[in-house]
Amino acid sequence: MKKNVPLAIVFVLGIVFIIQFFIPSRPSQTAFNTMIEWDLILYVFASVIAIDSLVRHHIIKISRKSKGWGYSIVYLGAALFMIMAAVFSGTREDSFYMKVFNYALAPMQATMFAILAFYMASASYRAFRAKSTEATMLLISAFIVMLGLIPQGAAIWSGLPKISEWLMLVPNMAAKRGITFGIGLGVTATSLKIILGIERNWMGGY
Amino acid sequence: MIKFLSKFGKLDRRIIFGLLLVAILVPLLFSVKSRFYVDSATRNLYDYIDHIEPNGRALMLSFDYDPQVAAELDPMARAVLRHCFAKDIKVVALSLQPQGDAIGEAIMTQVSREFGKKNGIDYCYFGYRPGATIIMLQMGVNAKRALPLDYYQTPYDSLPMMHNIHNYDDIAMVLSLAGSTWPYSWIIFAGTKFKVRIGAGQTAVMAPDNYPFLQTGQLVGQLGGMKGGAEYEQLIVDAGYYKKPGMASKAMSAIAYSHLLIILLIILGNIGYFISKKIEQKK
Repeated sequence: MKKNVPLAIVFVLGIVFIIQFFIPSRPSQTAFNTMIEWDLILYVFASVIAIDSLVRHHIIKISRKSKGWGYSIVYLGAALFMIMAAVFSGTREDSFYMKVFNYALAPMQATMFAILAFYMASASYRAFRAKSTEATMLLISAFIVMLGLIPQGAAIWSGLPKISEWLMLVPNMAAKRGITFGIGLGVTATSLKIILGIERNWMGGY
Repeated sequence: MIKFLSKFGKLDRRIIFGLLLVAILVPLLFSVKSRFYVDSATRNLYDYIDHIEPNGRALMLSFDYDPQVAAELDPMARAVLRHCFAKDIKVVALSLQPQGDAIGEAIMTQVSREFGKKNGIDYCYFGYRPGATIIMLQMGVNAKRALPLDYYQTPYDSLPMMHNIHNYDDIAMVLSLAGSTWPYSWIIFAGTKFKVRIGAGQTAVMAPDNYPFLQTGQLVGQLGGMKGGAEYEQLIVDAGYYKKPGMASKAMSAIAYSHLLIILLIILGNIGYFISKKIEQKK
Protein backbone atom coordinates (compact mmCIF):
# COMPACT_ATOMS: atom_id res chain seq x y z
CA MET A 1 0.00 0.00 0.00
CA LYS A 2 2.73 2.46 1.08
CA LYS A 3 4.60 1.68 -2.12
CA ASN A 4 1.93 1.16 -4.76
CA VAL A 5 -0.41 4.08 -3.99
CA PRO A 6 2.26 6.84 -4.35
CA LEU A 7 3.63 5.13 -7.48
CA ALA A 8 0.13 4.99 -9.01
CA ILE A 9 -0.58 8.66 -8.16
CA VAL A 10 2.72 9.78 -9.71
CA PHE A 11 2.16 7.63 -12.81
CA VAL A 12 -1.42 8.76 -13.48
CA LEU A 13 -0.87 12.46 -12.73
CA GLY A 14 2.46 12.51 -14.56
CA ILE A 15 0.96 11.11 -17.76
CA VAL A 16 -2.26 13.17 -17.50
CA PHE A 17 -0.42 16.47 -17.08
CA ILE A 18 2.08 15.79 -19.84
CA ILE A 19 -0.91 15.30 -22.17
CA GLN A 20 -2.76 18.27 -20.62
CA PHE A 21 0.08 20.64 -21.56
CA PHE A 22 -0.59 20.01 -25.25
CA ILE A 23 -4.42 20.21 -25.12
CA PRO A 24 -5.76 23.76 -24.74
CA SER A 25 -9.45 22.72 -24.34
CA ARG A 26 -11.72 23.92 -21.52
CA PRO A 27 -11.84 20.60 -19.51
CA SER A 28 -8.07 20.36 -19.79
CA GLN A 29 -7.69 23.94 -18.51
CA THR A 30 -10.13 23.26 -15.64
CA ALA A 31 -8.09 20.21 -14.60
CA PHE A 32 -4.92 22.33 -14.70
CA ASN A 33 -6.51 25.10 -12.58
CA THR A 34 -7.73 22.58 -9.99
CA MET A 35 -4.31 20.98 -9.81
CA ILE A 36 -2.64 24.34 -9.12
CA GLU A 37 -5.02 24.88 -6.17
CA TRP A 38 -4.17 21.40 -4.84
CA ASP A 39 -0.47 22.08 -5.35
CA LEU A 40 -0.60 25.12 -3.10
CA ILE A 41 -2.37 23.18 -0.33
CA LEU A 42 0.18 20.37 -0.64
CA TYR A 43 2.99 22.93 -0.53
CA VAL A 44 1.72 24.28 2.80
CA PHE A 45 1.49 20.77 4.28
CA ALA A 46 4.97 19.98 2.98
CA SER A 47 6.30 23.18 4.61
CA VAL A 48 4.81 22.17 7.98
CA ILE A 49 6.40 18.71 7.69
CA ALA A 50 9.73 20.31 6.69
CA ILE A 51 9.74 22.63 9.72
CA ASP A 52 8.79 19.74 12.01
CA SER A 53 11.56 17.59 10.56
CA LEU A 54 14.16 20.37 10.89
CA VAL A 55 13.27 21.14 14.51
CA ARG A 56 13.25 17.43 15.42
CA HIS A 57 16.65 16.96 13.78
CA HIS A 58 18.21 19.74 15.88
CA ILE A 59 16.47 18.72 19.12
CA ILE A 60 17.76 15.12 18.70
CA LYS A 61 21.24 16.48 18.01
CA ILE A 62 21.16 18.60 21.18
CA SER A 63 19.73 15.82 23.35
CA ARG A 64 22.40 13.36 22.15
CA LYS A 65 25.14 16.02 22.32
CA SER A 66 26.26 15.00 18.83
CA LYS A 67 29.16 16.78 17.14
CA GLY A 68 28.35 20.49 16.65
CA TRP A 69 25.27 20.39 18.94
CA GLY A 70 26.04 23.93 20.07
CA TYR A 71 25.25 25.21 16.58
CA SER A 72 21.84 23.56 16.81
CA ILE A 73 21.08 25.63 19.92
CA VAL A 74 22.14 28.79 18.08
CA TYR A 75 20.00 27.82 15.09
CA LEU A 76 16.86 27.05 17.09
CA GLY A 77 17.35 30.13 19.30
CA ALA A 78 17.84 32.44 16.31
CA ALA A 79 14.85 31.00 14.44
CA LEU A 80 12.62 31.37 17.50
CA PHE A 81 13.91 34.90 18.09
CA MET A 82 13.11 36.02 14.52
CA ILE A 83 9.65 34.40 14.63
CA MET A 84 8.86 36.17 17.91
CA ALA A 85 10.22 39.47 16.58
CA ALA A 86 7.95 39.22 13.51
CA VAL A 87 4.90 38.14 15.53
CA PHE A 88 5.17 40.82 18.22
CA SER A 89 6.64 43.81 16.35
CA GLY A 90 5.20 43.18 12.89
CA THR A 91 7.19 43.34 9.67
CA ARG A 92 6.77 46.98 8.66
CA GLU A 93 9.68 49.27 7.83
CA ASP A 94 10.22 50.62 11.39
CA SER A 95 9.55 47.37 13.25
CA PHE A 96 12.05 45.61 15.52
CA TYR A 97 11.99 42.63 13.15
CA MET A 98 13.09 44.82 10.22
CA LYS A 99 15.84 46.39 12.34
CA VAL A 100 17.24 42.96 13.22
CA PHE A 101 16.97 41.94 9.57
CA ASN A 102 18.63 45.07 8.17
CA TYR A 103 21.31 45.60 10.81
CA ALA A 104 22.21 42.05 11.86
CA LEU A 105 21.06 39.30 9.50
CA ALA A 106 21.66 41.10 6.18
CA PRO A 107 25.19 42.38 7.03
CA MET A 108 26.20 38.94 8.39
CA GLN A 109 25.06 37.16 5.22
CA ALA A 110 26.60 39.82 2.98
CA THR A 111 29.91 39.55 4.87
CA MET A 112 30.02 35.78 4.42
CA PHE A 113 29.43 36.17 0.69
CA ALA A 114 31.90 39.06 0.36
CA ILE A 115 34.70 36.93 1.82
CA LEU A 116 34.45 34.89 -1.37
CA ALA A 117 36.01 37.78 -3.31
CA PHE A 118 39.26 37.33 -1.36
CA TYR A 119 39.37 33.59 -1.95
CA MET A 120 38.57 34.08 -5.63
CA ALA A 121 41.39 36.61 -6.01
CA SER A 122 43.83 34.25 -4.33
CA ALA A 123 42.56 31.23 -6.30
CA SER A 124 42.75 33.01 -9.69
CA TYR A 125 46.31 34.14 -8.89
CA ARG A 126 47.31 30.52 -8.27
CA ALA A 127 45.18 28.80 -10.93
CA PHE A 128 45.57 31.07 -13.98
CA ARG A 129 48.94 29.83 -15.19
CA ALA A 130 49.73 29.57 -18.90
CA LYS A 131 50.80 25.92 -18.61
CA SER A 132 49.21 24.77 -21.88
CA THR A 133 47.59 26.20 -25.03
CA GLU A 134 44.10 25.71 -23.57
CA ALA A 135 45.10 27.38 -20.29
CA THR A 136 46.62 30.30 -22.22
CA MET A 137 43.44 30.74 -24.26
CA LEU A 138 41.40 30.73 -21.05
CA LEU A 139 43.77 33.25 -19.53
CA ILE A 140 43.57 35.62 -22.49
CA SER A 141 39.76 35.44 -22.67
CA ALA A 142 39.55 36.04 -18.91
CA PHE A 143 41.72 39.16 -19.30
CA ILE A 144 39.56 40.46 -22.16
CA VAL A 145 36.31 39.84 -20.28
CA MET A 146 37.63 41.37 -17.05
CA LEU A 147 39.00 44.45 -18.83
CA GLY A 148 35.90 44.72 -21.03
CA LEU A 149 33.69 44.98 -17.95
CA ILE A 150 35.46 47.98 -16.45
CA PRO A 151 35.73 51.59 -17.71
CA GLN A 152 39.56 51.34 -17.77
CA GLY A 153 39.26 48.61 -20.41
CA ALA A 154 37.47 50.98 -22.78
CA ALA A 155 40.08 53.65 -21.95
CA ILE A 156 42.88 51.29 -23.05
CA TRP A 157 41.08 50.44 -26.29
CA SER A 158 37.46 51.21 -27.19
CA GLY A 159 37.10 47.85 -28.98
CA LEU A 160 37.77 45.84 -25.82
CA PRO A 161 34.20 45.95 -24.38
CA LYS A 162 32.83 44.86 -27.78
CA ILE A 163 35.18 41.87 -27.94
CA SER A 164 34.28 41.04 -24.34
CA GLU A 165 30.57 41.16 -25.24
CA TRP A 166 31.19 38.97 -28.31
CA LEU A 167 32.97 36.40 -26.12
CA MET A 168 29.90 36.27 -23.90
CA LEU A 169 27.39 36.28 -26.74
CA VAL A 170 29.02 33.67 -28.98
CA PRO A 171 31.55 31.20 -27.48
CA ASN A 172 30.12 31.46 -23.95
CA MET A 173 26.56 31.12 -25.24
CA ALA A 174 27.41 28.11 -27.39
CA ALA A 175 28.99 26.31 -24.42
CA LYS A 176 26.12 27.22 -22.10
CA ARG A 177 23.56 26.06 -24.66
CA GLY A 178 25.25 22.68 -24.91
CA ILE A 179 25.22 22.35 -21.12
CA THR A 180 21.56 23.46 -20.97
CA PHE A 181 20.58 20.83 -23.55
CA GLY A 182 22.40 18.20 -21.51
CA ILE A 183 20.62 19.28 -18.32
CA GLY A 184 17.28 19.34 -20.15
CA LEU A 185 17.71 15.81 -21.46
CA GLY A 186 18.83 14.64 -18.01
CA VAL A 187 15.79 16.21 -16.34
CA THR A 188 13.46 14.65 -18.93
CA ALA A 189 15.03 11.21 -18.50
CA THR A 190 14.86 11.40 -14.68
CA SER A 191 11.26 12.66 -14.77
CA LEU A 192 10.22 9.79 -17.03
CA LYS A 193 11.98 7.32 -14.74
CA ILE A 194 10.07 8.74 -11.76
CA ILE A 195 6.72 8.72 -13.60
CA LEU A 196 7.25 5.14 -14.78
CA GLY A 197 8.31 4.00 -11.31
CA ILE A 198 11.88 3.06 -12.28
CA GLU A 199 13.48 5.73 -10.09
CA ARG A 200 12.18 5.41 -6.51
CA ASN A 201 14.64 7.33 -4.34
CA TRP A 202 12.04 10.02 -3.71
CA MET A 203 9.99 7.44 -1.76
CA GLY A 204 12.65 7.25 0.94
CA GLY A 205 13.77 3.65 0.55
CA TYR A 206 10.53 1.90 -0.50
CA MET B 1 66.72 40.21 -10.04
CA ILE B 2 65.67 36.86 -11.52
CA LYS B 3 65.43 35.37 -8.03
CA PHE B 4 63.33 38.35 -6.93
CA LEU B 5 60.96 37.97 -9.90
CA SER B 6 60.59 34.24 -9.27
CA LYS B 7 59.13 35.06 -5.85
CA PHE B 8 56.06 36.54 -7.56
CA GLY B 9 54.99 33.00 -8.37
CA LYS B 10 54.56 32.18 -4.68
CA LEU B 11 53.02 35.24 -3.04
CA ASP B 12 51.58 34.66 0.41
CA ARG B 13 47.77 34.72 0.34
CA ARG B 14 47.72 37.31 3.16
CA ILE B 15 49.54 39.77 0.88
CA ILE B 16 46.89 39.17 -1.81
CA PHE B 17 44.07 39.64 0.72
CA GLY B 18 45.65 42.89 1.96
CA LEU B 19 46.17 44.29 -1.54
CA LEU B 20 42.61 43.41 -2.50
CA LEU B 21 41.25 45.10 0.61
CA VAL B 22 43.07 48.32 -0.35
CA ALA B 23 41.92 48.01 -4.00
CA ILE B 24 38.32 47.78 -2.82
CA LEU B 25 38.33 50.31 0.03
CA VAL B 26 40.25 53.22 -1.52
CA PRO B 27 38.03 53.62 -4.64
CA LEU B 28 34.93 53.32 -2.45
CA LEU B 29 36.13 56.18 -0.26
CA PHE B 30 37.22 58.36 -3.18
CA SER B 31 34.77 57.31 -5.87
CA VAL B 32 35.62 58.39 -9.39
CA LYS B 33 32.92 59.16 -11.96
CA SER B 34 33.12 56.82 -14.95
CA ARG B 35 31.19 56.16 -18.17
CA PHE B 36 30.28 52.57 -18.91
CA TYR B 37 29.93 50.71 -22.17
CA VAL B 38 26.28 49.61 -22.16
CA ASP B 39 25.96 46.06 -23.46
CA SER B 40 23.05 44.88 -25.61
CA ALA B 41 21.42 42.83 -22.81
CA THR B 42 21.08 45.91 -20.58
CA ARG B 43 20.11 48.16 -23.50
CA ASN B 44 17.31 45.76 -24.57
CA LEU B 45 15.89 45.56 -21.06
CA TYR B 46 15.99 49.35 -20.68
CA ASP B 47 14.37 49.91 -24.09
CA TYR B 48 11.61 47.41 -23.35
CA ILE B 49 10.74 49.05 -20.01
CA ASP B 50 11.02 52.49 -21.58
CA HIS B 51 8.37 51.53 -24.13
CA ILE B 52 5.82 50.34 -21.55
CA GLU B 53 2.87 52.70 -21.69
CA PRO B 54 2.50 54.94 -18.61
CA ASN B 55 -0.43 53.79 -16.42
CA GLY B 56 -0.92 50.86 -18.81
CA ARG B 57 0.12 47.27 -18.27
CA ALA B 58 2.19 46.77 -15.11
CA LEU B 59 5.74 45.59 -14.61
CA MET B 60 6.03 42.63 -12.24
CA LEU B 61 9.17 42.79 -10.12
CA SER B 62 10.20 39.66 -8.26
CA PHE B 63 12.77 40.01 -5.46
CA ASP B 64 14.08 36.44 -5.74
CA TYR B 65 17.25 36.90 -3.70
CA ASP B 66 18.75 36.80 -0.21
CA PRO B 67 20.76 39.50 1.62
CA GLN B 68 24.05 37.81 0.68
CA VAL B 69 23.71 39.00 -2.93
CA ALA B 70 21.84 42.20 -2.10
CA ALA B 71 24.93 44.36 -2.71
CA GLU B 72 24.75 43.42 -6.39
CA LEU B 73 21.00 43.25 -6.86
CA ASP B 74 19.62 46.07 -4.68
CA PRO B 75 21.04 48.81 -6.97
CA MET B 76 19.37 47.12 -9.97
CA ALA B 77 16.03 47.02 -8.15
CA ARG B 78 16.33 50.70 -7.25
CA ALA B 79 17.36 51.75 -10.76
CA VAL B 80 14.50 49.83 -12.44
CA LEU B 81 11.96 51.15 -9.92
CA ARG B 82 13.18 54.73 -10.42
CA HIS B 83 12.76 54.27 -14.16
CA CYS B 84 9.24 52.87 -13.71
CA PHE B 85 8.08 55.47 -11.22
CA ALA B 86 9.53 58.33 -13.25
CA LYS B 87 7.53 57.04 -16.23
CA ASP B 88 4.34 56.31 -14.21
CA ILE B 89 4.60 52.61 -14.92
CA LYS B 90 2.62 50.53 -12.40
CA VAL B 91 4.64 47.97 -10.47
CA VAL B 92 3.48 44.68 -8.93
CA ALA B 93 6.23 43.39 -6.65
CA LEU B 94 6.63 40.13 -4.78
CA SER B 95 9.30 37.71 -3.61
CA LEU B 96 9.66 33.98 -4.07
CA GLN B 97 12.47 33.80 -1.51
CA PRO B 98 11.58 34.07 2.20
CA GLN B 99 14.34 36.60 2.87
CA GLY B 100 13.60 38.60 -0.26
CA ASP B 101 10.40 39.65 1.51
CA ALA B 102 12.09 42.18 3.83
CA ILE B 103 14.51 43.34 1.12
CA GLY B 104 11.60 44.11 -1.20
CA GLU B 105 9.74 46.00 1.51
CA ALA B 106 12.71 48.25 2.26
CA ILE B 107 13.42 49.04 -1.40
CA MET B 108 9.79 49.55 -2.44
CA THR B 109 9.21 51.90 0.50
CA GLN B 110 12.40 53.89 -0.12
CA VAL B 111 11.98 54.39 -3.88
CA SER B 112 8.22 54.98 -3.77
CA ARG B 113 8.83 57.73 -1.20
CA GLU B 114 11.37 59.42 -3.51
CA PHE B 115 8.68 59.70 -6.19
CA GLY B 116 5.66 60.20 -3.92
CA LYS B 117 4.07 56.96 -5.11
CA LYS B 118 1.40 55.18 -3.06
CA ASN B 119 0.98 51.49 -2.27
CA GLY B 120 -2.20 50.13 -3.79
CA ILE B 121 -2.47 52.93 -6.34
CA ASP B 122 0.89 53.24 -8.11
CA TYR B 123 2.43 49.98 -6.95
CA CYS B 124 1.53 46.92 -4.92
CA TYR B 125 3.92 44.92 -2.80
CA PHE B 126 2.88 41.36 -1.98
CA GLY B 127 5.95 40.21 -0.05
CA TYR B 128 6.97 36.55 0.10
CA ARG B 129 4.60 34.20 -1.69
CA PRO B 130 5.22 30.56 -0.77
CA GLY B 131 4.83 28.07 -3.59
CA ALA B 132 7.46 29.24 -6.09
CA THR B 133 6.51 27.68 -9.44
CA ILE B 134 2.91 27.24 -8.28
CA ILE B 135 2.65 31.02 -7.85
CA MET B 136 4.13 31.51 -11.34
CA LEU B 137 1.51 29.17 -12.81
CA GLN B 138 -1.38 30.51 -10.77
CA MET B 139 -0.56 34.10 -11.78
CA GLY B 140 -1.28 33.04 -15.35
CA VAL B 141 -4.71 31.72 -14.43
CA ASN B 142 -5.93 34.00 -11.65
CA ALA B 143 -3.77 36.73 -10.10
CA LYS B 144 -6.17 37.18 -7.19
CA ARG B 145 -5.74 33.55 -6.12
CA ALA B 146 -1.96 33.83 -6.42
CA LEU B 147 -1.75 37.09 -4.48
CA PRO B 148 -4.75 37.22 -2.14
CA LEU B 149 -3.25 39.68 0.39
CA ASP B 150 -0.51 42.28 0.03
CA TYR B 151 2.47 42.63 2.40
CA TYR B 152 0.40 44.85 4.71
CA GLN B 153 -2.47 42.29 4.79
CA THR B 154 -4.72 44.37 2.50
CA PRO B 155 -7.02 42.10 0.44
CA TYR B 156 -6.51 42.06 -3.32
CA ASP B 157 -9.92 43.63 -4.00
CA SER B 158 -9.11 46.60 -1.74
CA LEU B 159 -6.06 47.53 -3.84
CA PRO B 160 -7.36 49.89 -6.59
CA MET B 161 -4.39 49.21 -8.89
CA MET B 162 -5.08 45.48 -8.89
CA HIS B 163 -8.64 45.90 -10.24
CA ASN B 164 -7.10 46.03 -13.72
CA ILE B 165 -4.79 43.07 -13.23
CA HIS B 166 -6.31 39.63 -13.73
CA ASN B 167 -3.43 37.52 -15.03
CA TYR B 168 -0.27 37.81 -17.15
CA ASP B 169 -2.28 39.45 -19.96
CA ASP B 170 -2.16 42.61 -17.84
CA ILE B 171 1.57 42.35 -17.11
CA ALA B 172 4.00 43.93 -19.60
CA MET B 173 7.00 42.05 -18.25
CA VAL B 174 8.15 39.96 -15.29
CA LEU B 175 11.58 41.02 -14.05
CA SER B 176 13.22 38.47 -11.77
CA LEU B 177 16.16 39.71 -9.71
CA ALA B 178 18.03 36.65 -8.51
CA GLY B 179 21.33 35.18 -7.42
CA SER B 180 20.26 31.71 -8.52
CA THR B 181 18.23 30.11 -11.32
CA TRP B 182 14.86 31.75 -10.63
CA PRO B 183 14.75 33.42 -14.08
CA TYR B 184 14.88 29.90 -15.62
CA SER B 185 11.73 28.98 -13.71
CA TRP B 186 10.02 32.20 -14.79
CA ILE B 187 10.95 31.45 -18.41
CA ILE B 188 9.61 27.89 -18.20
CA PHE B 189 6.46 28.36 -16.12
CA ALA B 190 5.40 31.91 -17.01
CA GLY B 191 7.15 32.78 -20.29
CA THR B 192 6.66 29.53 -22.20
CA LYS B 193 3.20 28.64 -20.92
CA PHE B 194 1.57 32.09 -20.70
CA LYS B 195 3.68 34.03 -23.24
CA VAL B 196 4.52 36.82 -20.79
CA ARG B 197 7.85 38.56 -21.45
CA ILE B 198 10.62 37.84 -18.93
CA GLY B 199 13.63 39.94 -17.93
CA ALA B 200 16.42 39.08 -15.51
CA GLY B 201 18.75 40.81 -13.11
CA GLN B 202 21.46 38.38 -12.05
CA THR B 203 24.63 38.30 -10.03
CA ALA B 204 27.81 38.41 -12.14
CA VAL B 205 28.49 34.70 -11.56
CA MET B 206 25.03 33.68 -12.77
CA ALA B 207 24.64 36.10 -15.69
CA PRO B 208 26.66 34.11 -18.29
CA ASP B 209 24.21 31.20 -17.92
CA ASN B 210 21.41 33.30 -19.41
CA TYR B 211 22.96 34.12 -22.79
CA PRO B 212 21.21 31.26 -24.64
CA PHE B 213 17.85 32.68 -23.48
CA LEU B 214 18.84 36.20 -24.52
CA GLN B 215 19.69 34.97 -28.00
CA THR B 216 16.36 33.13 -28.41
CA GLY B 217 14.40 36.11 -27.09
CA GLN B 218 13.03 34.09 -24.15
CA LEU B 219 14.64 36.81 -22.04
CA VAL B 220 13.93 40.39 -23.10
CA GLY B 221 17.18 41.55 -21.56
CA GLN B 222 19.39 41.13 -18.57
CA LEU B 223 21.31 43.15 -16.00
CA GLY B 224 24.48 41.24 -15.23
CA GLY B 225 26.08 41.91 -11.84
CA MET B 226 27.14 45.28 -10.52
CA LYS B 227 28.05 46.38 -14.05
CA GLY B 228 24.49 45.76 -15.27
CA GLY B 229 23.19 47.90 -12.41
CA ALA B 230 25.70 50.66 -13.16
CA GLU B 231 24.77 50.62 -16.86
CA TYR B 232 21.08 50.92 -16.02
CA GLU B 233 21.80 53.78 -13.61
CA GLN B 234 23.74 55.54 -16.36
CA LEU B 235 20.87 55.04 -18.84
CA ILE B 236 18.20 56.50 -16.55
CA VAL B 237 20.43 59.48 -15.65
CA ASP B 238 21.24 60.12 -19.34
CA ALA B 239 17.53 60.02 -20.17
CA GLY B 240 16.75 62.47 -17.35
CA TYR B 241 14.61 60.04 -15.31
CA TYR B 242 16.84 60.40 -12.26
CA LYS B 243 19.30 63.03 -11.07
CA LYS B 244 22.42 61.04 -10.16
CA PRO B 245 23.93 57.56 -10.52
CA GLY B 246 23.34 55.21 -7.61
CA MET B 247 25.32 52.70 -5.58
CA ALA B 248 26.20 50.39 -8.50
CA SER B 249 28.16 53.16 -10.25
CA LYS B 250 30.09 53.89 -7.05
CA ALA B 251 30.79 50.22 -6.38
CA MET B 252 31.96 49.71 -9.96
CA SER B 253 35.10 51.77 -9.28
CA ALA B 254 36.00 49.34 -6.46
CA ILE B 255 35.31 46.42 -8.80
CA ALA B 256 37.36 48.05 -11.56
CA TYR B 257 40.46 48.45 -9.37
CA SER B 258 40.10 44.96 -7.90
CA HIS B 259 39.88 43.56 -11.46
CA LEU B 260 43.04 45.46 -12.40
CA LEU B 261 44.78 44.12 -9.30
CA ILE B 262 43.75 40.54 -10.10
CA ILE B 263 45.02 40.94 -13.69
CA LEU B 264 48.31 42.32 -12.36
CA LEU B 265 48.63 39.47 -9.86
CA ILE B 266 47.96 36.88 -12.57
CA ILE B 267 50.64 38.45 -14.80
CA LEU B 268 53.14 38.55 -11.92
CA GLY B 269 52.21 34.98 -10.98
CA ASN B 270 52.93 33.82 -14.54
CA ILE B 271 56.25 35.70 -14.67
CA GLY B 272 57.25 34.05 -11.39
CA TYR B 273 56.09 30.66 -12.63
CA PHE B 274 58.09 30.78 -15.88
CA ILE B 275 61.25 32.11 -14.21
CA SER B 276 61.08 29.40 -11.52
CA LYS B 277 60.59 26.82 -14.26
CA LYS B 278 63.70 28.08 -16.13
CA ILE B 279 65.79 28.07 -12.94
CA GLU B 280 64.72 24.48 -12.26
CA GLN B 281 65.54 23.45 -15.86
CA LYS B 282 69.05 24.98 -15.54
CA LYS B 283 69.65 22.99 -12.36
